Amino acid sequence: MSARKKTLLKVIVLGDLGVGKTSLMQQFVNKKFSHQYKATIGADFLTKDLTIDNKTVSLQIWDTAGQERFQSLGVAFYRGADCCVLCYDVTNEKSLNNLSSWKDEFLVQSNVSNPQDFPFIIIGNKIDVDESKKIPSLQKKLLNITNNQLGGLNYPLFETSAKDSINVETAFENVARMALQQEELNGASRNDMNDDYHDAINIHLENDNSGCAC
Amino acid sequence: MPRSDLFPELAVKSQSKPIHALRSKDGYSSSQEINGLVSDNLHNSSDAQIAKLVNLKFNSNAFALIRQLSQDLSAKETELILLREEKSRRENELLRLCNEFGNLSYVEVDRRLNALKPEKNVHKVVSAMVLDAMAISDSQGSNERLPKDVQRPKPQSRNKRTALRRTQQPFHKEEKSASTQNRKSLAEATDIRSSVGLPVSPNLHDTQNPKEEPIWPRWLHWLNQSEESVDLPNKSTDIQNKSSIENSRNKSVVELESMGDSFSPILTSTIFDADKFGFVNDKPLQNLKCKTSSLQDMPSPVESPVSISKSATEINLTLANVENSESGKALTTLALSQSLDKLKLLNEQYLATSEMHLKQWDILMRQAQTSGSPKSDQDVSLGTFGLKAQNLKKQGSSLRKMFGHEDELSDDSKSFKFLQRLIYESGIPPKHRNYLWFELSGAKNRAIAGEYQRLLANSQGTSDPTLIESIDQIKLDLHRTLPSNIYFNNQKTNGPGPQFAALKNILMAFAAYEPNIGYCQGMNKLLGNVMLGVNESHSHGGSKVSEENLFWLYVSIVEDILPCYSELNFFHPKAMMLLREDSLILRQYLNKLMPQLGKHLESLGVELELVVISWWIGVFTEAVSSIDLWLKLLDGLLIADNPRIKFHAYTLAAFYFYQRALCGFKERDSIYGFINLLKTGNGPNIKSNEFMSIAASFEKQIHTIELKSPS
Repeated sequence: MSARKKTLLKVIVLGDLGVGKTSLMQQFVNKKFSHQYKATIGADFLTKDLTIDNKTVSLQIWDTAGQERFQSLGVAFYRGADCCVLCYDVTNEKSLNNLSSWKDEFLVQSNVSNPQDFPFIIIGNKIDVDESKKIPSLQKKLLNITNNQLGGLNYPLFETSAKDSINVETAFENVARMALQQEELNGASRNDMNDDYHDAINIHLENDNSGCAC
Repeated sequence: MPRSDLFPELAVKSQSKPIHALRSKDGYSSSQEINGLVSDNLHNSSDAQIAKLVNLKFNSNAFALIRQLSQDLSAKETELILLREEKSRRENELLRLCNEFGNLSYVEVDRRLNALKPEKNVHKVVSAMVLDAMAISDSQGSNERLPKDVQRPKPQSRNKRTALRRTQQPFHKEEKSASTQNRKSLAEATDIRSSVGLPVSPNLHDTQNPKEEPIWPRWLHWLNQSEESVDLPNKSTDIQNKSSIENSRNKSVVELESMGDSFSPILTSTIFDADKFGFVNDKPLQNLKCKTSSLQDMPSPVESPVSISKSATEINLTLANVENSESGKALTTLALSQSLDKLKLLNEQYLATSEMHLKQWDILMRQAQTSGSPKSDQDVSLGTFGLKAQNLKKQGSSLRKMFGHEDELSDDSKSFKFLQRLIYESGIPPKHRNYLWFELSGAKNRAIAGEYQRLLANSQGTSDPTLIESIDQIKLDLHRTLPSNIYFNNQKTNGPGPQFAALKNILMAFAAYEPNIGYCQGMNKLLGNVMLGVNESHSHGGSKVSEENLFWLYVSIVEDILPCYSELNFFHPKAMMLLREDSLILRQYLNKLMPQLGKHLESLGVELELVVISWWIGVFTEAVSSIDLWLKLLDGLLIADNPRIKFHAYTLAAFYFYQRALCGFKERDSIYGFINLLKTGNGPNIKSNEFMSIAASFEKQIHTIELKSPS
């Protein structure tokens, strides 16, 4: 693969309905915010080119419908994802509590090869709202969730406002960087194995190892 | 005469400053020879000729030539953009009028145009423009240039934006002040389009490709519709007649273009008015939509089911013939007036057909309302059409009806068949819609007095966690339902519109009525569109539908009209997986019936299932752009024998009409961009009668396929 070729990165955006996934996407991709976004039905697809460390990448973002019942569709488009963005609404505690179920569902359906190191990023949206409306002691709860429910892994956390365009760019640059890393990792493993079915080969290697251990 | 010849020249002429003037200002000769070579034909010259030109006219400075070329190009583009802006304003007004008055006659449009521009007589202008155009094509004829010679290199979209900025040049002062607003929206639309990878300006593109379907202003499509929906009584319409129709089309194009040099303030003031369905018209550039696939260019997967489409094809083919021959000369002012008459005649015929349909509807409705179907073993109060389900069953398998065994049908079934035919041909007219929807959906049978109020009260004071969750989700989606429609969203305050509460109540009551189904995203848009249809019907003299009855209508649609999957309701959470499986079947149909598109989508790696499921979950609200068409889709569903197959047929029909656009995209992103555009209601316009007949034809083919398959 030539280094100059544009790298395609697939990003999945998940989270409860109404947390502002579409708004985040629109702010990131088209630099605008509207009160008139429609509820997403099924999934929307957006794309944006970025330059990360002198490398041009094309982010292909799946903006999904937030209803739980749509999760069963995930298998159709989680495949081949390079990064997953988990969104919650800083005024909606339930959306925060659901982060782990979104993550789990993603891992189950995407069947990624490295669930332990797969890049997730967590975005709390709507920080523009009045302080009084926010989830009380949010940071504590968030910490609690990342420690106890998200496996204690250090996923990058961002707080954004799609409305006022706060932190959106930064968050997604991070997404792109993480996705690129994951892609390179996958690419490397693909090259090493010289086979797309690296899962199967992994099992084979494990067997070899266990054979040695005996 | 090829429009590609016409357009750039007209663009130049309609502006006060011709290109030559710009050129001579820069100190270069404006002799005809250079004009011809530099702007039109240079790409056909030999290297030696170009070298000679550079030598002689540009003092051996090739940069000067390049600069000159790019200057010409940008000046032309500036003018094109301005013209297009003007045109879009005009078309918006026309669109609004058409929407407002329904079947607006050609004469009426003409009169309005005249009123907008009292100082000029449209006919005179048209004649003058046609003569000009003929002169141009004559001179081209003498140069023996083929149409393809006039193709120009495709300008980059970047150039367009540059050109946009250049509209600030002093010689456009008069437009500048007045059209800033529009220009802004133009720029926005341009950006959106380029960001989704669509051709930024199909119009411009088309002027450069004579082979492609000529773009007519939207309102002309409107007239076309009237023209083609007429099943011409005398099929012997000879070629000359048809060509005169085409001429009249061309003529009308000229008419619109020619009016680009004045500006009417009336138009801008109406841009943000709502249409008949209450949508705020915030898309001033709707005319820049992607092209609808046209019938003649496609590998026809279906036999054109009706003569209508056939005649459209013939007409289009004739157009091609006319364009390829030295047709410019054939165009005379006599033909012009003839074609105008022809157009008027066609319009009258269209009106007559509509009238005839309406009369048939009235007869049918009278029958239905008076007879009350006493022959039936069902409750008398059901009425002829309330028996939809029974009628369909009575006819045995849907297939038998499909292949027509009319003699076996009972009287009831015959009248149902009549109804079915009428619905396919014309859709339910607004004034009968509310009555028929209520009857056909079975809502009349379902309604239980007082139940709605009870459900509503239940949903409001509930402690059931499932119901509470549904209600929370409904609340999150309410303000995101048809946000650009004034009935649901007050555009000034961005607060609830007059029907917001009804939307909320019905969705909540349904969640209480069917807690297992609850609320599913997509229901909101379905209900919203149904309410818009009911509104329109009421404003056309249809019966008033109370919120309670609306609820029962909605319940019936969701429970009895939409397809079921293994006995599970369409919106049931567990049906999602089955929906997905069904979408895999659709892929097979697509590959079989439209192999070219199937292969194309597959080669780009498009996740077809996702597109299809999004369309289905939204009950096609995000698959077609016009509410008028959507309402007819629902009409068709109400009398469908097998809603699941109907869904497939509609999906295939939509793909059929988008096929050309989709096959034109070479990247997956662009395909998704197009799909997104459909969701925002910015997709191509499709004639509803064509859509319905194509869908019917697919339905038959699917039946045949399923019949053959072992299951």
